[in-house]
Amino acid sequence: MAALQRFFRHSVLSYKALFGWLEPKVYLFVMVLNPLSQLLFFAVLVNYVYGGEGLAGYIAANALLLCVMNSVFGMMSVITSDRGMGTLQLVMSTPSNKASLFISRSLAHVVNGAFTAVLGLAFGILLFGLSIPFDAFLSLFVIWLVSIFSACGLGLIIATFCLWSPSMHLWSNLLASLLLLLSGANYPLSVMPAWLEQLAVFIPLTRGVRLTKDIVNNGDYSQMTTLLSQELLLGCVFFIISLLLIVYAEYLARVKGTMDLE
Amino acid sequence: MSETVITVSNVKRVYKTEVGMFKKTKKEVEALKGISFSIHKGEIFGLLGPNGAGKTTMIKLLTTMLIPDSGTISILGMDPVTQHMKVRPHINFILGGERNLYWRLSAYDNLAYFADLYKVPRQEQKNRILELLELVGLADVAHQRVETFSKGMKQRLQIARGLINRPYILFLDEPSIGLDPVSARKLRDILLKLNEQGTTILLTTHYMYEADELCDRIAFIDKGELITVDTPENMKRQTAGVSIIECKLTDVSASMIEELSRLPHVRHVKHEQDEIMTTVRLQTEMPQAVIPEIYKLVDEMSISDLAIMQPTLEDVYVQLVGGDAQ
Amino acid sequence: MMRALLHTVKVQMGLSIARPMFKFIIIVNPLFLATLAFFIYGSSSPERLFHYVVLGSGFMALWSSIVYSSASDVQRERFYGTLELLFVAPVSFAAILIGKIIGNMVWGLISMGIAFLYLALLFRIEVPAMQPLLFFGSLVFVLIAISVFSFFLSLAFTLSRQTNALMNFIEYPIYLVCGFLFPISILPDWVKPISYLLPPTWAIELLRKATEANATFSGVAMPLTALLALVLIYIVFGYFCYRAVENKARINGKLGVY
Repeated sequence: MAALQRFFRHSVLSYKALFGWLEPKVYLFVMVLNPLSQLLFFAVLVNYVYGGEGLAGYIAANALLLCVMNSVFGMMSVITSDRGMGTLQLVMSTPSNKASLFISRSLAHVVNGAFTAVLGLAFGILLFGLSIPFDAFLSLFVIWLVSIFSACGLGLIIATFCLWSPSMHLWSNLLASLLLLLSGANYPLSVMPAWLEQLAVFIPLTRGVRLTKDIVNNGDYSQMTTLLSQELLLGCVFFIISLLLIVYAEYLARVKGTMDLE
Repeated sequence: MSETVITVSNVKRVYKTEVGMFKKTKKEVEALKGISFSIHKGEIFGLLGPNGAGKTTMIKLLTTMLIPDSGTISILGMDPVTQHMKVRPHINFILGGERNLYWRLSAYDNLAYFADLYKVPRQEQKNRILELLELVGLADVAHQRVETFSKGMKQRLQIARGLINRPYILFLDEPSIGLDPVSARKLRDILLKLNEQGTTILLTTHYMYEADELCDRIAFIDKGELITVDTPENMKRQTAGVSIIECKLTDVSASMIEELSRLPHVRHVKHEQDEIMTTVRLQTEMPQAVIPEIYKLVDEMSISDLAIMQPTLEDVYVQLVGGDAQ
Repeated sequence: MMRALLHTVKVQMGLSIARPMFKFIIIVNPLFLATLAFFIYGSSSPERLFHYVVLGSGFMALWSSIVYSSASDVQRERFYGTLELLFVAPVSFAAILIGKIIGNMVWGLISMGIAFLYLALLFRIEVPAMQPLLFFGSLVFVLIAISVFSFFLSLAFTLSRQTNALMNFIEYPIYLVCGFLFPISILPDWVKPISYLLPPTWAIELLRKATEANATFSGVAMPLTALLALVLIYIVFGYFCYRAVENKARINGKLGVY
């Protein structure tokens, strides 16, 4: 019980310490207005191009995509911000369990990402007068949590790259663009060349976007169990890889002395 | 005073760095070339030496952050290489400078965060944090964000952070770097108080008077080698019979310093320059013989002050590590 | 004067591209935007593809390069503490800024070119037959207009404490309001006046008109006039902003502080 409390306390404090966008004005701009303007842009665009066909699904999928802010840029801060402040080496040399430490840090971003996505969906529903059946919401919420968890896992992998590479902005933007492009939020996956479609299979959010569209547009739940468990598995694999990378970085710092965690 | 808490024997550490992307040339830097010493329970132990001497490497080895290439280290009877997870709860370390804190959190939250990382039970946390903030004199700003703090306050908060797990041994790397005299004084008082309460302290510093005032024993290291370990008193005794002539000169050239060091009976010369004048310290056993020679060499008008004094720790350091070679 | 300007242009181009993030914006981002636009518009007519995918994503690339260069340069100089140094340099601050903007424009144009080549070569988008004089004339004019606008933005940002937050907010709303990827006629009526006040709206409109099948000079007259008028207005705005920045720097001494 004490360990669990510590886990959640850590989650909240590290979010405050590392992300630092909690200042009301800045939060409003960065975490509310900016995502909403992105959603609005894509909603207007697909509404125009597809003549309103499948609009609800596109808007819901775009709302899910708003979590990229947290699952990429937020997750980057979990490592890069800590390193920038010179606290990473202090944290790494405490007797705490590193796996639970980084997972608890990620938790805040999964929750924040889900919040932004839900906010985006509510905004889309109000603005475009969409109707989504009430019983779809619970399923959607579960799908989104799992998808965002998975995206955060990939985000953490990229964040660990920054222990080796100085170009953190490059990596984070590359990943953000890739998620927006490959998840297929704004077009059917079939328009992509086959090799891209193959690649999309290994990218988080692809399954989440597909399920979101299926459920919102057609009330089709048939793929839910399969795709959801795949997305969850993908997320777990991402987290395991990223934790291994962190362990490897610590090995390089401690044994080889070739990496400076400061 | 005799119980040993840290034993370092024949420790070596080499850094290998690869330079260049394609034609990789391997460069090896011997940071520590086989160092041995031990630290007793309840001591304040100072590690002194010029930049690049290997002080920080030593601290990293002792705090489980780095592994030695050869030799053994024992901390509280444990091996920091294999038993690092067991060692970590009993030690802590503090790095100089303003970083290494979460600036966006309050002082209290910084400590609460690390209290959790060191698994301090919740019911103890609150009292301990308040106690520590009291100790370092930050109780009244406990809930202010660290970014509003002065350098000295940040440094003191670092001390509190370093004590959050009630460590048996506290390591400090250049704790007083960049602090004004009053803040540095406060820091020393805190360290002395801690030591009274039984904490063993190992610190590195550039400031000789600080080491002299604080440390029970001092180790001089240079270029990865241990030069000497002893109490400040014994070290100063090495210079028994030696006096220091300190003269402040308004107009002095490098060649003149060179000539001063070649005077008979002069053992070492060290000079320091500020905006207005140069302070030259000459070590000699026969000050009365040297002073007339100085007046012969240097224009009388440019000598603004001249005094004979007892050697300080700094003079010992100069004698051991070498004069103006910096 | 001219030499100082050219030198600034050269230095600016070098400095900008040295940043990994800017490399991303200039080289990778246009590919990403073009792909996204192409996937969305995939099955449309060739003219629509050219107007919205080629011109649209090209213009988005240009705009991103401005957001991440001209508009954020001031913030960066402030961060490094060099803003005041620039301000007290004997060459006027305006000349330095113009030099910076021209440098960034060149990169923006390159970015636009990358989007175009990528679409033409990889996705085989047809380029409609057009009158070169009309198109390239319009393009040059558009670049000048966008330069003026980014000059104004850069100065306006200098005055604000919230540069970072504003910068983050300037990308998608402009894509949206100025109709980079769709005609602004689909926007709600109350948004349109805002669109008409922003030079990028007319700039992209001008390029679309200039590349229409039977483009004539009278066809482009309307966007051309509007753009010209706006450019003049923003020059006036820019001048006042410039004076305000100068006051802030020299009288209040507050340029670098916050």
